[in-house]
Order: sequence, then C-alpha cells, then structure tokens
Amino acid sequence: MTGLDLTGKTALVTGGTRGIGRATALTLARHGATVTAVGAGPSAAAEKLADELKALSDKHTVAFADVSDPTEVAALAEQAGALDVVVNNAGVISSASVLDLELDEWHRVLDTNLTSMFLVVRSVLPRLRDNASIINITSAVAWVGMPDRAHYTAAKAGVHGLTRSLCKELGPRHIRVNSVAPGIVETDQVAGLTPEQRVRYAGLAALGRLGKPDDIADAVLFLAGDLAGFVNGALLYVDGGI
Amino acid sequence: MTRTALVTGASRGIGRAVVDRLLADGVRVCGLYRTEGDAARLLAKELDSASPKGLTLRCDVSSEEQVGQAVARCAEEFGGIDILINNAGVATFAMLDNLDLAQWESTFATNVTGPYLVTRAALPHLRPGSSVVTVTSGLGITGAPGKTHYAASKAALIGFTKALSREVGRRGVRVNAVAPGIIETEMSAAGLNPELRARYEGQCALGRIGQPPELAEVVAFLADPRSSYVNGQTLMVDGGM
Repeated sequence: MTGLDLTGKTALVTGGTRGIGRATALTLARHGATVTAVGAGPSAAAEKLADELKALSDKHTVAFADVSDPTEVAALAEQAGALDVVVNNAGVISSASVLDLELDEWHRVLDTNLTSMFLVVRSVLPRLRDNASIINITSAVAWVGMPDRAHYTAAKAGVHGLTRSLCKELGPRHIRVNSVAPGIVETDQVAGLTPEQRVRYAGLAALGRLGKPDDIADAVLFLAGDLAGFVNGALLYVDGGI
Repeated sequence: MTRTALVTGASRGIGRAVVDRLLADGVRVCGLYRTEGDAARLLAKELDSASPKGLTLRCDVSSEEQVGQAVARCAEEFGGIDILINNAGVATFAMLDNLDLAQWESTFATNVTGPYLVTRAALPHLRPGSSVVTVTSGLGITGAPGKTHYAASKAALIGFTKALSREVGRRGVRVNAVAPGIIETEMSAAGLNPELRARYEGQCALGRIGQPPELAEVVAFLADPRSSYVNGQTLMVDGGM
C-alpha cells in the first residue's frame, strides 16, 4: 500500500538485533527511517544486523544498552537524539511455576519486559518530535495466560496498561502510543519446538501457520507512520486469529 | 494483478473515504449505495472514470435479493473479489423505553443482516489472500445512552468477525473489523452543536474528532497483504478514548 514511507523520520528499536526487533529495524530502515537498533551487547546477531543496515545506508546505528538500567537508558536516549518512532520491543521469556519462581527471576522478567519500557519512554520523551509514535510490544498470551508464565504474562499485560495511560498523557502532545500483541512467531524463542509442537501451535491460528517476524514488523510499520494518525491507545493483535 | 474490492455504504462518510483510498492504491472498486442523490451520482462519476474502471450499484444491503444481484454482478465484471468492506450502517438515537420494535429491527437489518448477506454472497468469490473488513463502532464496546440498538448491532459485528475469521482462515481469507470513535461524518459528528463537539473532542486523548480518511487508512491496511497475520481482530480507531 502507498503512504508507508518514513523518510526523514528517526526510529529507536529496543531488542533490535534479533527476532521481531530485528525484522522491525530492517523494515523501518527499508522504508526510509533512520534507525537505531539496540541490543543487549555485542553478538554475532548484532554484527549481522549492522552489516545489513549498512548495506541499506550509512545512517543507521546498532547500539548496546541494558534497557532495564536507568543510566544506560539515559545514555542511549542521548545517543539516539530526536526521535519520531520508538519501538519498545526488548523482552525475555522465562518459564517457572509460581512455587519455583524466585523473586530475583520475577524481578528480572518484570524489569526487562516492563520497567525497561517506562525507562525508555521517560528518557526519550524530551526528544520526541510532534506526531511521534510509540509502539510497545506485548504478547497475545498475556490475555490468555498459560502455566509457568505468571511473571511473563503479568509483565506483558502491564505493558498494555502502560500504553493506555501513556496514550492519555501524551495524546495532548500529539504523541501516539499503541500496543502490538504478537501471537506465536518464529523467533529464537520458539526455535526449540518439536515438529509436533510446531504443527499444534500453527493450528491454533485460524490462518493455520506460525507468524513470521516480518508479519509483526509490518504492523509496527503501519502504526509508526502518519497513516495511523487516529490510532491511539489501541491493542493490535497480530496472531493469525487465535 | 489488479486487486478488486466491494464496498458497501460507498457514497458517503467512511465508505466514500475508503473508496478513495483504495482507488489511490490502484484497486478496482465496486461501490454499493442505497440512497439516490448527489452523493451517489458523484460516486458513480468517480468510479466510472477511475482506472481501472469501477462499478457503482444501487443496493439495499438488507435485501437478500438485491445483495444477491449486486454481488453477482460485481463478481462477474471483476472476475473475483479480493477485498470486501462491510461499511453500510445506520445510526439513530432513542432511549430504550422509546425504542420501538420497528426501529430496533431496521437497525439490525442494515447493520447486522446486511454484512451477513453481503459476506455470504461474496464468500464464493473471495480468492485466497483476500480480506474482509467490517466497520463496527467503539460504541459496540463502550455503549452510550440512547444507543442500545446501535451498540448491540455493532457488538454483534465483533462476534461475527471473530467467528467468521475462524471459519475461513484456512482458505486464506482474513476477517477483521475497525471500531471508529467519533468521526467527522453526517452520521456521527457533523451537525453537532459547539458544546457537544467540544465535549467529544475532550474525550479523545488527541483532542479532536477523527476524519474519514484516517479511518480509511486503517481499513486499507487491514485490506492489504501488509496485515497478512492480523485476523479476527477489531481494531479501535478513536484517537485514544
């Protein structure tokens, strides 16, 4: 469709070197945005992404930060400069029954999946331009729940609470805030599935397939740009129909 | 290959904006309208001169016979349908104790039976990769006084969307809905007195009433392969309420 071009806009993508974040960084870059993709630290995946972004243009950056650390996030915001698009995507998955869930692990999952988004928004806010778009990546499972994911789903449900209040708070400044809730997407996080599990998970979606990182990236691309100018505070599931 | 679209309620408001947006993307459009008049004539003129040439048909979506004829004609001329936009709808105001059965039934006839009839008729012509987008309303989720019939009809469409998405997903047909907030159309915001307008604007975080083209962009996204893993959803488009 026409009108998706982001030329002249700058974007920050956390968790940007792998999976959904990587696909999003590349998609935004291919549509003209100047992208800062953030990884936790140097890695083969980060190098690969840096090469691919460089092949598109010299203007893109791969940066490193622990997005749950306020000092590192502040430095990251300074490095990124004025922004039009912020994609809060960094997250970790973890599996533990509530009885075995140590408080440290609870905090680690909440910090990375939820507190990080607060820290990033707070730090970049003074540098956000008019009509900026913030997209927070949550997860469809947060509205369904599943065993051993209490911490993960609590964090991801919290993400949309953050979106809802921020949309009211920042709307008057002409900043939009929305959530995207992926279903089951082919990333490193599901790479360990057995063939039987893959078939079963694919069958959960009415479309009969797993999601691809690009499916999510395309939804983020739409919300990032001015075409979605009246979409604010929305929760967009990208799950194939579960 | 040129994609083709069938749009109901095409002569005015959101439907008209959707037609314009799809034409801008090079889609071949068949627009259905119910009421004769200037709006219908303008639509016909635009679709007639569009490239590729479109089609304008008069059709009351609550009439099984008229829907059957219109959809068959569209499918025959276009050779298949890739995009169906169920947009036709009516809105009236009545508190429940004054809401007579005729008003209740006419609301459901257009708002719910209409999309059912049009979608059922179009389904055999929908190719794999096609997309159905239904225009429901934020009121179908939040409700408002004087809107029991309207809100119930729009809530029905959310269930319709969800259920149909599970039925036809395996055939490669996606089914989604948009739920507009307050939009500048004859049916919604136009003609509001200044006090009411200010109140509605204040309910929206962006501080304004939405414009039909803004709705059309979201409809166009859901109709486009860019949203190929979005299915069974009702996307709020209300500026944050």
